[in-house]
Amino acid sequence: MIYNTIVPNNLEQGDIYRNLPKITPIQLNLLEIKDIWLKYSKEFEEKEVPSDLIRLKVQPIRANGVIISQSCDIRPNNSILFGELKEKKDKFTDNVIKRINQIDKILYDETRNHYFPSDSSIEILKTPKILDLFTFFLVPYEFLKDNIKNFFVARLNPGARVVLCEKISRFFTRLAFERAMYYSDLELKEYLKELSSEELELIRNLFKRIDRKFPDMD
Amino acid sequence: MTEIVSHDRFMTFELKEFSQSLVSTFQLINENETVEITSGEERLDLKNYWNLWIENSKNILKKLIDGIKEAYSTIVEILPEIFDCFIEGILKYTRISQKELRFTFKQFFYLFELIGLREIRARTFNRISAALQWKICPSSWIDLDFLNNYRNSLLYNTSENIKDSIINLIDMIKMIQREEYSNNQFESDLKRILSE
Repeated sequence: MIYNTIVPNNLEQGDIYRNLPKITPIQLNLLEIKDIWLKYSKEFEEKEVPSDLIRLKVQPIRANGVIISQSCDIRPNNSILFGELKEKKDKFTDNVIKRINQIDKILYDETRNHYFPSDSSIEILKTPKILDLFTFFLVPYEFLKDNIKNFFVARLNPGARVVLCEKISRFFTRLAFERAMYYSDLELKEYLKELSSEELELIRNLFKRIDRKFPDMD
Repeated sequence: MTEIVSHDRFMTFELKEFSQSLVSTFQLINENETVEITSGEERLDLKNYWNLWIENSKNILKKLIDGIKEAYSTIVEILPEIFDCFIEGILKYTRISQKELRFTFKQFFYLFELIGLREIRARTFNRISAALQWKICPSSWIDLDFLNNYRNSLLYNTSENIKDSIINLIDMIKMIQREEYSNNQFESDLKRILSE
């Protein structure tokens, strides 16, 4: 398979670690402090000193992750960027042809996912996992460096690491555009059916900007 | 053989052995009261005997009830500890079996409440927070409304530890719920990619 489970002496992009303390902005819930932050921000701009400390409570959550930071950026006194390795709730289909098709779609998907195949000899990889490139978290270098053997799961073989590196770089450099503007009204109506209200709102705003009529959804 | 005759003269019993054993039992039960047996020929009045018997039974029953009451109050006192151990066991089982629990925390609490549980220890709340943090159980296992109601029902003199633990648990549940929302987004994105 694509994994090597010998515990290394160093950390590299693509290494898989388990039981990490994940802290993300979602957990922090910055919205809780939005109003007071805005108030103090205005005070600060007016050369005043904010009167009180703004506190946010956060409790780390256990997560398995893959190192996203480039190997050259992994050094003391730095934090290492991880992407969360997640379980797909709906299992992959039992039909092999369809399953291959599903795996290919994830591998070639340029939005947020990367595929990690299962390996029965590795506890956390007994079922296939998906790397979610939308869920990042930082772990201090020293946290891992001194305890590699406690958290290390596997290192990707060189071929698989290259695929992951390319995927990560494509993810960070991808050109985000809304394909809706390329569709005819008929195509657009069909496309919009699948979208959430938030996504519809984004497209509605885009159409306003490009002066195009948003189709009637009834 | 000792013959004992009753007042109504119709009931005659040979009671030597029985009365001796009764008296010795009585002595054992109530050490302060002594009954003298002067000779094998002594006659006991049957009415007195029954009164004595009822009195003894009452004493025994009273002591038994007191004992049960004491045992129950001891159980009630240690019930939060038992409940804590029970929850610990349940979480260990979930961790090892990796199965989802059929019964919620609320249901377990109500079950223990039936046998007298009135208070949940701070340690139990901390244990559940930790279980959520390590993803041993889902946030749906604890009902947020139940927790809020429980917190509101606490007396003003409840220890700060318990109040803090509940607040921490509520914060943890809310945080996990926000994360679950984000995970649902991930799942729906994945589903869309796979269906394209």
